[in-house]
Amino acid sequence: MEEAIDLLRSQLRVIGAVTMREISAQQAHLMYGYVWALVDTLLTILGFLILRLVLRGFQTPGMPPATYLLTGALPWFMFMALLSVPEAAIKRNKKLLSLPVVTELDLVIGASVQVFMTYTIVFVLATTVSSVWEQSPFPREPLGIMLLFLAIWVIGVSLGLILIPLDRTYPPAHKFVSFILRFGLFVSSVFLSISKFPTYDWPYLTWNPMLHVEELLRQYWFASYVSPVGRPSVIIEWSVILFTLGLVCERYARTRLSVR
Amino acid sequence: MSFILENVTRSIAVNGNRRTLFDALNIEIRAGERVGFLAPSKAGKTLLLKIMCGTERADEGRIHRGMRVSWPIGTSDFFSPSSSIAWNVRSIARFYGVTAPDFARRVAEIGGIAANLNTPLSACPPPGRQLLAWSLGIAMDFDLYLFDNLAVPAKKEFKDQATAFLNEYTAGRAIFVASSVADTVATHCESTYVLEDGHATFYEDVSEGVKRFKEVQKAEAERRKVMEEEVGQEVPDESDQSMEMLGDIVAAL
Repeated sequence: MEEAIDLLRSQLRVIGAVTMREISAQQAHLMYGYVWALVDTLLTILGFLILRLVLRGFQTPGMPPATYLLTGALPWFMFMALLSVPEAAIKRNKKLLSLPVVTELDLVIGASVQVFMTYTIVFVLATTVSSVWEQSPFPREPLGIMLLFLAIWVIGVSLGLILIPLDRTYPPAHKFVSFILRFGLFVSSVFLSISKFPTYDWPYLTWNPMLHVEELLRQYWFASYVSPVGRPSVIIEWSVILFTLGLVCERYARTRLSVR
Repeated sequence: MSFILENVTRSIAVNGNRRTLFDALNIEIRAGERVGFLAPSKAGKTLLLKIMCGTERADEGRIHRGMRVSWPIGTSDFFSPSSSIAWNVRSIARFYGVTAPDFARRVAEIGGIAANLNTPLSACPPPGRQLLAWSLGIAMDFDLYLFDNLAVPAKKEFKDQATAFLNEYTAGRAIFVASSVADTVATHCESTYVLEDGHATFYEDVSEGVKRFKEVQKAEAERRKVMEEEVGQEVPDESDQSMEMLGDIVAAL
């Protein structure tokens, strides 16, 4: 038992060291390095937000528009960023694997923690500003929102791990993945809530775990919104299945497929 | 407290063929021992060190690491050339839980590169990277230090000082020096293994091991010379497969 605790402690220390390395490597050539990583993300979201608000291409069902958009777009962008973390982190830091204490999984978790932190900080900052600006109330269930963010982290990283063998055996595969994700943007309740789709599509759309995440996020944030489909049990089931599958794929890739 | 390599076998692919580097290799290192491993160039010394520290796998065999084992000291792959020496030291030390604020300075002082502490590694004078790799390795707290080829940096004016640092920092700890240079092992080790045809023989007295290794090297050189005379061209000494192919040609002639 003591040995297991020591191993876990050492693993956490390595993950922490990878995260610190990733943070300090972010925009390291600029003064205030990591702050620029936050500003970058913030500006991307802001540009997107302005575009959407100006175009008025959407209707929010009884919710303040900017907060509505932020609570949909930021989690989705975090999911997208996490998806590409595993293979990119291994490629970027593969030289660290010459240290016996570092494994590929440490690199993935360390780098994904950095992405998680960046988006969480930006989310808190951006939604605070938008809530004040729109004079909308703060989230009614912050703990639920935090848990949903953790679920996004698990789902994003797991899917990224599942994609590693695919990426190493067939590199153009990411082009198809990008196509699917673009489609996913519209069917995951990022801009269009599920009520905008005909009810006969719901049984198919609700297979998507990100739809449940986005729907529940709005429900936990806005008192006026009750999702007709969002179910925490679906998110938990998907998280467990994808995480297990992700670990299996990572192990397969580590032992059978070398990093390109 | 000991490190044991039991019946470790490892082969690699060379031009589509399997070449066995280690065949049922047995190595034991106890706390405080200073052990050498003599093998010709390209015989797989670096690979052996990687297997010992756990970054490479053996095909067969058992490895018992009852000690905190270093990475192969001399490896500098994990450094970021665009970052400063201080950043690199702090970044690597953090993986091992070393967070002492003066650690980077101490490492730089051991390597004689303290003046460049905040200089990007790529802008340091040429041996800077090797000196940093070596000084960081010995400044870390391990029970077994693995050295790849050189136990101390080859920089002439720094050699005596480096040997003193090495003895100071590894006092009471085990060291394992894998080298093709007999003098390196003779200087820093008390006993040695000699690799012949994938098998390692242990010599409790390092001088006997060095003597045997020199005999092996001499025999190998003579064998190569005979082959070169018969084939009429130079035989590279770094490829056993080429040697085998040339052996086949000679046999056919």
